[in-house]
Amino acid sequence: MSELRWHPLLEEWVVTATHRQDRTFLPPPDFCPLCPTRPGGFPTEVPADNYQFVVFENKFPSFRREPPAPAVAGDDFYRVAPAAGGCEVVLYSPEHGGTLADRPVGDIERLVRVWTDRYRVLGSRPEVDYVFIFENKGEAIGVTLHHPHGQIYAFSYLPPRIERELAAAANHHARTGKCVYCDVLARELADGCRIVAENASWVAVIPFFARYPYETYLLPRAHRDSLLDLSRSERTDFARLLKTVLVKFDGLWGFSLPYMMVMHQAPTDGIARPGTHLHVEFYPPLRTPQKLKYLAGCESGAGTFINDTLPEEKAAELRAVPCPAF
Amino acid sequence: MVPGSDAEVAEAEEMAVREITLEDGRYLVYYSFEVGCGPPSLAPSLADGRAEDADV
Repeated sequence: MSELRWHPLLEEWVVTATHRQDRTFLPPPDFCPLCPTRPGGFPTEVPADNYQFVVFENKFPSFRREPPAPAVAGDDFYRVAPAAGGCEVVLYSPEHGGTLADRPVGDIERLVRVWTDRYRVLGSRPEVDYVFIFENKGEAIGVTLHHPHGQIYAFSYLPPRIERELAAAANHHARTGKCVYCDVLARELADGCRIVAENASWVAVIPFFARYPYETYLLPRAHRDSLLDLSRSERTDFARLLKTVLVKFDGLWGFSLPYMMVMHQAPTDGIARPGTHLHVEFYPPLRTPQKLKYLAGCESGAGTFINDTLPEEKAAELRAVPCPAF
Repeated sequence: MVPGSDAEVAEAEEMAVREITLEDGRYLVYYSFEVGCGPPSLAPSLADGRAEDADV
């Protein structure tokens, strides 16, 4: 069962999804539910013996197309609502091993096209206000299946982090008439010291205000609201830069770096807003090869991040990681 | 972009999309890429609609 419960102290929705407690936890490779179904083998989620990319509705979703009624009765103070929306799983490859960093640029380019199509399809549903593409990678993040995959959540409302970003962008636009992301990018390019990598149409940077040591943003140089607005060359450059950053992450300490990867783009609620600017944010949770950056008391209880490092130094570290030209 | 590179090949491909419904009512979409592949053509070789115990 899942439902939305209103948090009156923060004025935001909390999702309860108790059925997710039962999901499979780190199955052995021979019983991976995301691999193709081999002839004579056990039936996986994908009823085919091969595939390139697959997207399917999560078996343990937090949001559903036809959500059940809430398990409890709400009122004006403790509001409840059905958890409408959708949760999709995106399989990057039929191969069980490896990560997105191991895929050739062409495959990452194909994945960008899949993401673009899912943004279009999910965003066209009337109940979907926000399409959130993301990937949790590594057991340090709590991943329960190692097969290379990402996820997409289709929200029936604007999630609070997104709402806050949009409000900041609107405020900046009202003050200056400009996009705050375009201004951040211009400032980062002028300073230069926090740039991780760049190509003709995209830039990767650990921004001035990074909260995690290796928090890396990927932004298109031109103002683009969503994946749908990318030109062919911009889409290809996006794939090339994504590959570059992923290779640098894995080369940093010589092992596959865990991360959260999230994509922010224009809401799909039909409301035009100034200052929405497509971008990707990476939050690798490690601050050293052995030490996690915990979201502890100050981060969780006060909402203020304490970054033990300087973005300028961490960006220099990533720049120095050898990486072929993609 | 390097002429003839993997990325350039990917851009030249057509994307085929085929959606099926699993036994429990969920949808599953196959995406395949091929130069000049035309309409969705990727045919799963096993019966549609089998799904067990996956989670994410």
